[in-house]
Amino acid sequence: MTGKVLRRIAIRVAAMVAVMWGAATLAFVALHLLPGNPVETLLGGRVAPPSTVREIRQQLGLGNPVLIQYLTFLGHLLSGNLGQSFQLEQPVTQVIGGQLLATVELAAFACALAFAGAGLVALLTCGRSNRVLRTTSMGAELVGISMPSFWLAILLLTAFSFQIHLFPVAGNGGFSSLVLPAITLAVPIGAVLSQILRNGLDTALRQPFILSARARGMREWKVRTVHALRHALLPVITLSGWIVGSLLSGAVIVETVFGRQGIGRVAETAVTGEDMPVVIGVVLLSALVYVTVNTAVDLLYLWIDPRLRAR
Amino acid sequence: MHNMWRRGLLFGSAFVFLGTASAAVPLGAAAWAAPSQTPERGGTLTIAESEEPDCLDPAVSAGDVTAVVAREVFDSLVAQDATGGLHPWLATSWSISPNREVYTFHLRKDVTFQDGTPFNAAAVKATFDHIVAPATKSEYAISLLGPYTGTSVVSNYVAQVHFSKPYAPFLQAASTTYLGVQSPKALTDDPSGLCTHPVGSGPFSLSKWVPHQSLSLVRNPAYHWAPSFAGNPGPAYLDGITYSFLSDDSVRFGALTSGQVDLATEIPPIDVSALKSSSTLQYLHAQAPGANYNLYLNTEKGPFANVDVRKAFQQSINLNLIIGSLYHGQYQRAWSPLGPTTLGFDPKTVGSWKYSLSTASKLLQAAGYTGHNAAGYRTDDGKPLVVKWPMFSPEPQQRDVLAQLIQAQVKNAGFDLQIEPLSIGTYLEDYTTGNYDIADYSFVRDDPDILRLIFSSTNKSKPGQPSQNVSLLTNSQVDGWLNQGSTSSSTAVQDATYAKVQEYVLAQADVVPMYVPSELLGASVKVHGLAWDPDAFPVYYSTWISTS
Repeated sequence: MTGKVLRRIAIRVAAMVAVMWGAATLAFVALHLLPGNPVETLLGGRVAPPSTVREIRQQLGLGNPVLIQYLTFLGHLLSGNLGQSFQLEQPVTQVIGGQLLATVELAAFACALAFAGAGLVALLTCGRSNRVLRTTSMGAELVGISMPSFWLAILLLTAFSFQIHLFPVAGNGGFSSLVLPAITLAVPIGAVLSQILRNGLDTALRQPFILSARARGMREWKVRTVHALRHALLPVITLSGWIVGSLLSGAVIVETVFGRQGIGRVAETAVTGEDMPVVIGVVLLSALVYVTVNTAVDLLYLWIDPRLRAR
Repeated sequence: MHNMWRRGLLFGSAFVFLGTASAAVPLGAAAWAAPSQTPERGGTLTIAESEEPDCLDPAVSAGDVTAVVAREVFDSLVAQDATGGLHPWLATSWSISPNREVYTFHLRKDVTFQDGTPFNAAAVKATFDHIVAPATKSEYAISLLGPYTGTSVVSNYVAQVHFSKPYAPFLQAASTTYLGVQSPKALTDDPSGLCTHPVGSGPFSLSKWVPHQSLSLVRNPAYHWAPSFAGNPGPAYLDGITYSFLSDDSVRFGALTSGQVDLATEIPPIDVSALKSSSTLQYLHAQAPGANYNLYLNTEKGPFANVDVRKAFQQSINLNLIIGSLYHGQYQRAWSPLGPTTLGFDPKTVGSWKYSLSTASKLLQAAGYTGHNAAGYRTDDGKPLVVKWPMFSPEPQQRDVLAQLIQAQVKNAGFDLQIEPLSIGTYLEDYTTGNYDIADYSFVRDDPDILRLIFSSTNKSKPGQPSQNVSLLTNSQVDGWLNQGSTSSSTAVQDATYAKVQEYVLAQADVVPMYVPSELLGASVKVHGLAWDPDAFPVYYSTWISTS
């Protein structure tokens, strides 16, 4: 059985490498298929003197056949060389690496907020809970899911920064500057999670083992947290990929509005400035995060649900 | 890309052809004004800045915000005042060879760079050589050096700058931040770090740059070599300056109104009235000199090759209405391709062209567009009157909305205006191959010779070489006036010839001016001594914060 599991893991990892290779190839193709030649694209509208153009052509090896350029590109990627940002005149790995921590910090806090909030709301409103509370929270969730992040961000800022001077408007300066951005990022994720969790809890609460737990005289709160919640968490794990995606894409807006450092800001600046080496770097990083999370989730199922191991 | 809006997207090599040394008079801007009250020392000016510099080496970057931030870090050889006069700065005096190919600068002997390196002729040589070095990949500064061939160090404090042909605009160019003098030690020690670690001799030095978040400058305590008209002989009054990069308009404005920053740039026009009515805030405004935000009509091919169709287009836009409503009266509608604060602006252009749908209709009838199709557009032999406007996206200052308003207006005259928002690659391809009917940009430069960039037949945009003449004008009469203006030393002659150019291109509808780009600043009333440089960029050297 362990051999099967190991083989399954090996296949998963191989698939992961294949997806990464695909993403890199797509990035390379895009660079060459975009209108205008790669030098113009890489310069992103900066009209450079001929000497600069020569310099870039040399850097890219544009004189070589496309296949050689492609292999050189892959070779550089394997050795961790993502090229040089034209906007910032720095290696792409340095541009991204320098901003990674800020986004991880924001995403982790937002994730914690989303899970804690969603868990609490779902536990309070599942099953035969207070009808008014349940309807209110479902309505609020719908609003939370539908509201654009930038609008929520501005509302939060207007209330808690411009009117009541509780939190600073911008910056990465300590915990207080993390609160509003993290809430903005957490609300849409938390709203979805809370719906899914409540749904899962409702289903679980109708199961016979809940009835037997209750028959044993277990208190309602304990029934929900100990028995039902564990079952309701399963579908949430399936959503991990989506959560990571929401955190990454949400970071673009949140970091821009709140003037924070981070990968989202790097992506936004690079896309609007057409700084292609950085765009490619961000694309590859996102691909890596997605693939890693999805692979981890797949493997996690094997651990959670023993029936899957047998197949 | 929005950091390009004022400098203009396309600068190319056109500056090589600049002819005159005469400089502009930005009437609306008080340059580096001396403070009227007794300044207080201390405090850090916090600024909510709309854009972030891409690179702080002015030899590399063409961005406006780079020029704004780098102005505090770098000094130039000469300084330009509000009336266009050139004054000593790092150079105490200069002489120009009769053929205008050699400029000799006598330098100050008491200046040190922020890293302790003494300033001398070798530093001037190192700076200019750095700008033209291919590895620098200069986007703009290199064009300001024109036909530069080299700098010779005559003695420790005498530098000679050589050009391969007469280059009159060099003195004015040398006053810009882009040609600011850099520490030769920094240039050789850490060439790859110049973008992030600029070292000049200016009143402030870089203390910390947190990418995508903030940038802090601290006062250079040794500074005592400001230009005489700056009104401050010693170090800056402020302890430092902190820029927070907040690209969202409402966040920037909220940060200002809630007192979290002292100053905010690019105030949205809609918020200006709130600023003006506030007792704790002040509103500052400067019109940029140079070419306004103009629409250039392709005179070479397509429907606009016909002058009547161009005139009809020009007259079918109710500019007062749309500029007034879109920008809430904060940006002035333009009458001439030149901004009103530019030297050589022709006041006779004001009111010289009107909105008249009936005239537009007659003109189109005469041009052969006699029919109408089902959608209401005019047709010539069944062919609809389509005009194509590729726009570089995203555009600043709601230019995309402006375009839609124009689209709705010219529809009344029967034009099918098709706006195409494009990414830079496609845009440049259209722009350089003449595959458009309308091209748009604005361009800050305080010199009337800007007209030559825009309308001289020698500066037409062509494949692989984007340039400013995108009306694709080839007119020997206009070329003649432009030459006359740039070679004459008489202001009266210059004004007269530049006026002829402006009147001609408007009468021919080669260009449809839109609005005068302006910098709208909001600041706390505690901030004093705010000043503008001749390009309408804010300068903070003489700024101070009152504690009461």
